[in-house]
Amino acid sequence: MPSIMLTMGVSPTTFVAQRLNSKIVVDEITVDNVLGAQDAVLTVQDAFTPDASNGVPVPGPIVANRLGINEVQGTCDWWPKDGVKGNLVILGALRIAIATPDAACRITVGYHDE
Amino acid sequence: MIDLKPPVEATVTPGVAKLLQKDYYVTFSPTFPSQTKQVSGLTFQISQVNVVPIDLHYILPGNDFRDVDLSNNAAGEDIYPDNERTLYEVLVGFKPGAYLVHLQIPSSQYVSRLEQASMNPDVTIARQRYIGAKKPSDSPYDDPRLFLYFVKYLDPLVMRVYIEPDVDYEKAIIGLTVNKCYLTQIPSTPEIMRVAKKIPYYTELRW
Repeated sequence: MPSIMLTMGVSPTTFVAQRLNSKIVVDEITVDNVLGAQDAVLTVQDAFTPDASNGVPVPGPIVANRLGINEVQGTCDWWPKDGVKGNLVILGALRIAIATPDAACRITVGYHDE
Repeated sequence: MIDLKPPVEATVTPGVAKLLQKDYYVTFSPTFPSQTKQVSGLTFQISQVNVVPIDLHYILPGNDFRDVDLSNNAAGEDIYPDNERTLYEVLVGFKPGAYLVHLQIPSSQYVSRLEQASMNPDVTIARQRYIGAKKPSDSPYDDPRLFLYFVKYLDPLVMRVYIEPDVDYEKAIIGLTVNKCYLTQIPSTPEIMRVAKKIPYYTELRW
């Protein structure tokens, strides 16, 4: 399972680029807001441009929100809780947006392709 | 020409190759029309093979579809041979997802349908959506069971990829394993005809 850690100084931050021949399945997300300046209000996003279909011949880019996480200032937490298997499927690029950019907020994402 | 192999009930040892191999025989039905006269009713031995995998992928909205033309037409995916002496044996496998695939050849004429007039596949009508549909579990990506056979000048085969309702978007990932077979014509004998792979024309499948 690959993983990547990035800081949230920029919003949104792209964690994993779109895979053309697979989906991205997020297994876990760890939010370290111990040194953060405020609560971290996070949104996991799925960014892609659909292909042309019968109903939408000329589609535009889509950003779909897939998960919301509020991490209290001074805490470190992870998703999913209590050993529940993560099953968050991302079709395009995996991005995370934060309400107030904060380089002291660190996020680690574990994922696999499927 | 289109073959969905069922799951096996028994295995044989030693195993049988899934793909056509060098020196295998193939024979084409005389029903192939004059546009494909280079193979119609003829028998060949395979003198070379080359396996080329390729993945197709489409992100589409729920309750919507896209027609994927596998031929070399302008809007096609270019999965047909360009040489009159080449046969493409194409294994099709689907990654899991909330989608269905209907096969049409030529465009708008479904391969699988029942005899009653209203029992034609139609993804826009719930009752007819699943008639003849291939689900991802019917031909898994890692164990494909759907075989297609393409020669030059064959009518375009279209896959209608339909995304199930109640999902915002789905990504249909279709793995193709193209077994390129170079054909050498040979005289047909009863012994060769007994072991040759017989390739019917699509009109023979849609009776």
